[in-house]
Amino acid sequence: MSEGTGKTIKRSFAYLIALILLLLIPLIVRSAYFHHLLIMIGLAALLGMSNRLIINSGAWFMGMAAFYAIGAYGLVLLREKIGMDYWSAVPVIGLITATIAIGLGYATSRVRGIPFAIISVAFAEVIRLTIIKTPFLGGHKAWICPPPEPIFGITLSSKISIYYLILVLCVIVGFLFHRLEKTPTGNALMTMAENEELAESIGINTTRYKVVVLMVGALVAALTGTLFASYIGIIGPTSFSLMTSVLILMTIVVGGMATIWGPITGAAFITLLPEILPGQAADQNIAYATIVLLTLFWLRDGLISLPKQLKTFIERSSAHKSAS
Amino acid sequence: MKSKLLTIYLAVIVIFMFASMPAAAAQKELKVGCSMALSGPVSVVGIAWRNGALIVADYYNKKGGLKVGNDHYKIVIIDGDNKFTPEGATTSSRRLVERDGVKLIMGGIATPDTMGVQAVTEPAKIPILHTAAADEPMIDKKYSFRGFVCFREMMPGLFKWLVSNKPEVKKIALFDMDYESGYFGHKLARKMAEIKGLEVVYDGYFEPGSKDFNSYLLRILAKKPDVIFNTASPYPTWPIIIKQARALGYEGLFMENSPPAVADNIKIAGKENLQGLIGFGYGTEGSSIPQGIKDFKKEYMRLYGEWSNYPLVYVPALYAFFAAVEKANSLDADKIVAVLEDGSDWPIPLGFTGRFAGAETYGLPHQWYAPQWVLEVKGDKAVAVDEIPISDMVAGWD
Amino acid sequence: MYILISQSLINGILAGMIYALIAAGFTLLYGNGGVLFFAIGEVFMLGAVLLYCLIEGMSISYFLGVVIVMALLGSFGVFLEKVIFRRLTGNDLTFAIGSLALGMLITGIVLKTFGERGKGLISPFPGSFKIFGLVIAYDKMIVVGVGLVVIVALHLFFSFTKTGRAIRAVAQDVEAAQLMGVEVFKVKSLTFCLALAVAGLAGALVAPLYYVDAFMGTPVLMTALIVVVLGGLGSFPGAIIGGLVIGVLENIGQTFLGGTTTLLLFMIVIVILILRPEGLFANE
Repeated sequence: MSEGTGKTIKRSFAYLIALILLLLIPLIVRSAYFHHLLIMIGLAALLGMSNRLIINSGAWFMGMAAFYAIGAYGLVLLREKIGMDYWSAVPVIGLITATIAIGLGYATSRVRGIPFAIISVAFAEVIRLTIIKTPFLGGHKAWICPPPEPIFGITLSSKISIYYLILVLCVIVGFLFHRLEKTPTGNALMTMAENEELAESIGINTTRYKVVVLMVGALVAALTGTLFASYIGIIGPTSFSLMTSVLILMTIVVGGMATIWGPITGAAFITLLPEILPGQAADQNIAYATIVLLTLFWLRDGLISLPKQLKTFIERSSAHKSAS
Repeated sequence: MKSKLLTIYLAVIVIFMFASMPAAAAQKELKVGCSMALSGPVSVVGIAWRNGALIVADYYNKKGGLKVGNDHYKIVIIDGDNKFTPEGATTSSRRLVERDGVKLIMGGIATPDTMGVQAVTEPAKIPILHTAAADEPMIDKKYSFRGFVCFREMMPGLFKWLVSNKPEVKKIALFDMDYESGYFGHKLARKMAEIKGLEVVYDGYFEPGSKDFNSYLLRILAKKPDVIFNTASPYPTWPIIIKQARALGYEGLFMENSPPAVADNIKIAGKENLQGLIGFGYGTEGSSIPQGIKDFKKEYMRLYGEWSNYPLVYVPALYAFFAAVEKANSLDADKIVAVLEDGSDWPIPLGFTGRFAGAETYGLPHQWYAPQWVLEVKGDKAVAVDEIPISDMVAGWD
Repeated sequence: MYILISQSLINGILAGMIYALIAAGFTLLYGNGGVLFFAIGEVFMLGAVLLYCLIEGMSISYFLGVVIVMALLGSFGVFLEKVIFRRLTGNDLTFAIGSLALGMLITGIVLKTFGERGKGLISPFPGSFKIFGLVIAYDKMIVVGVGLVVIVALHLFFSFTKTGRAIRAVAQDVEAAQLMGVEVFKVKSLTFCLALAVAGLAGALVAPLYYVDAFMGTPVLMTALIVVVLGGLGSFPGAIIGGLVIGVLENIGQTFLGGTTTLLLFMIVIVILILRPEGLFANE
C-alpha cells in the first residue's frame, strides 16, 4: 500500500517538474520560433484531446475542423461586427458551439459507425462551404484578429502570454480528461465504445452521454479555435479544410489513443516532423503517411507505447539468447 | 514508467530546442527566404517562381555576389513552404526569419498567405516581395513590396489595345474563379469597361475545382458576348474553358490578364481554339520582345526542362529587389526600403526598365511598374503585338 | 431554356457516368468488410496519370492504354488487400485512417514523379456533332459508352456468375458466406481488384477530357460519399443510379443555382444519413 503511495508521489513530483519546466522554458530559450512551435503543438494537442474524447466514446467523429472553425470565426466576427472583446466573446462562442454540438448530437444519436463518420465529414464541409459562400462570414477573405485584451490586469498581447494561456488550457483539459477515465462516467463511456447495445441494456443512457461528449469535445475545439485566431492573427477558410481534420486524426492515431499522452505526443510529432525533415512538402507527406501506416501496423497503441514495445522486444531477444 | 516517459519528453524538448536555434550565419551569405506555396495545387506558381528566383540569384552570384561595403554576399535562397494558408505562412516565415536568419523574403502569392507572412515580417523589419492582388497587403506595410504589375496597372493598357484594334468588340463577359482575386478583377474590369464604352453582358464566377463549365458557358453564350475576359484564373482551368466554349459554338474572342501559356494550353484546349487569344505580360516570342527575356527562357528550360509563363511574372521585380541591397550598400532593412522608395529606375537584365511607385494609389510607392506587352496567340506562339509603357498604366483610369 | 436544360442533362449524364464508376468502386469496398476507402480519389487520379504516361510516354493507343490501366490498378488492389488491409485488424476507423494515409502516400509519390503541373492529354476523339440544337462531343460519348459497357458487364457478373454472387454474399453476411463454402479471402482480393480497376477506369476515361494533375482526385472522395449515401452504402445498383442522379442534379443545379450546389448536396447527405443511416435506396 505504501509502495503505491510512493509511486503516486513520485509520479506527481515528476509531473510537477515537467510543469515547472514548461512554464520556464520560454524564458530560457528566447527564440520566437521555438515559442511558435510550442504553441502550435499546444493547439494540436488540444484538438487531439478533444477528438480523442469523442472517438473513445464510440463515435467516429472525423470533422473536428468544423468546431475549430466555429471558434475562430466566431471570435473574429463577434469582434468585427459587434465590437466584443475576447473575454466577452468566449462565453457567447461557447453557447453557440454547445447549441450546434447538442443539436448535431441529438440528431445523429441513432447513427453509428461509418454513417456517423460520413456525417462528420459532411458536417465539416458544410461549415467550410458556408463560410466560403456567405459574404457576411468573409468568403475566401482573410480576417485579422487582434490578441486578447488584458484581464485581471495581465496584458496578453505578446506571443509568450498566448503560450501560457494555451499551456494552462492544455493542463486543465488534459488533467480533466485523464481523470474522467477513472470515474463512473468514464467507465460508462468505455462500455459504450465497446458495445453500445450492451451499454444500453445495463441502463446507460447512451444518447445523453454521446451528446455531452460531443459538446465537451466541440467546446474545447472551439476554444482552441479562438486561441488560434488570436495567436496567428489572420484566419481564412483554408485553415479549416478536410486536411486539417485528417491531421488531427493522425495525431491521435500516431500518438496513441489509450492515454491522454497520446494526442500530446502525436501533436508534437506532427508539428515537429517538418522541422526535422526539411525538404519538399511531397516528401514530408510521404513520410507522414508512411509513419501513420507503420503505426497502424505495428504500434497499434501509438508512439506512446514505443518504450514499452522496445522494452518487451529487448527482453524477449535477451530471453531468447539465454535460452539458446 | 511515467517518469521514463517524462524523461523521453524532456529529451525531445532539448533536441528540438537545439534544432530550432538560429544557425550560425555563414560568412558573407545573403539569405533570402521563399515563403510560397511549394506544395498543393498552387505550387505550380510557387515552384515556378522559386526556380526563376534561383536564376536571378545566380545572375548576381556569377558576378561575385552583391557588394555591400567591402564584402561580397552570395545570395542563398531558402525554401519555406507556406502551404498557401495564413498559419502556414506565419510558420514558414517565422522559421525563415528566426532559425534560418533570412534578410529578405519572397512571398506570399495571394492575399491570405501574404498577410500571414506580413504578420511576422513587418514587426521583424524584413523586406518582402509579394504578389497579393488585394489592397490590404499594400496599405501601411512599410516593408512590403508588390512584385508584379497588378490588375489596376494592367487593365488600362489591355483595354486600350482592345478598343483600338478590335473595334467590333462591344460586349464583354467577365468569368472567373470564385475567389478574392476574381472579385477584385471584376470590380476593376467593370469600371474599365464603363470608361471604354463596353457593355458588360455577364459577370459571374465558377466553383474552384470545376472541370466542366458547360452550365456556366450556356448562360454566358446566351448573352452573345464578343469577348470573354478572365482576370485571374490559374492554369489549367482557363484552357478548358476555352475548349468547352468553342465546342458549344462560341466564335468570339478570349482575353486573359496574364501571358497565355501556349505550349501547355495547346494540349488541353487544342491549337485552333487558342488562335486569337489575347493576353498581357511578358511573352517570349515576337520581334519586339527583348533578347534578355528570350535568353531567360532558354536558361530556365536548360535547368528545369519545361517552361511556363509564370516565372516572368515575378522575376523582373526580383532583380530590382536584390539590386537594391547593393545600391543601399547595406543589409539594413530601412536603408534597403529607402532605396526602393526613391523612385529611381531599375534596369532589368531581361532588357527593359522598371521602377517602384504608386504612392498616389497605395499610400506608399511599393508597387512595381514595368513595361508589358499585349500578346496574341498566333500559330503555336503568343506573339507580342503591342508594348504598353509605364505611363499608360496609371493614366488610363481617369 | 430548352437548350439550358437539355445540355445540362447531357453533361449531367456524362458526369454521372464517371461518378457512378467511382462510387461503384467505393461501395464495393464498403460492402466488402466495411472499408471506408478514403483513397478512392487518389486511385481515380492514378488511373488518369497512368494513362497519360502510357499514351505520352510509351505511345500506346487509347483503348489499349485504358485496359492496361485497369489491369495495373486491379493488381494494385489485390496487393493492397493482401499486404495491407488484411493485416489491419482493428475496427473500421483504423481502415479509414489507413486509407487516408494511403491516399496521402499515393499523392506524394505522384507529385514527385509526375510533377505538380497539370498536363493535357490530346483527345483521341476530337470533334462533336450537333443534334436537336445540342452539341455532343465524340469523346464524351465514348466515355459514356465505355462506362455503360463496364457497368452492364459488372451487373451481369454480380447477378449470374458464381464468383459474382460470392462477392455479394460476403458483402451481405461474411459468416454465412463462409459457412456456404465461399473462400472469403479470395473474394476480398477480387473485390479490391474490381473496385480499384473501376475507379481507375473512371480516371483514365476522364484524362483526355480535361487535364491530368496530382490533385484531380481530391474532390472525388466527397462526391463518392454523396453518391454512396444516396444510393445506399454497399449497394452496386445504388451507386450506379446514385451516380447518374447526382451527376444530373449537380449540372442542373450549377446551371440554375450556381455555386451553392455542393453545399446543398452535403446538407442533404447529412439529413439522409440521419433518417436512414444505410443510405437512401439501400435494399439491405
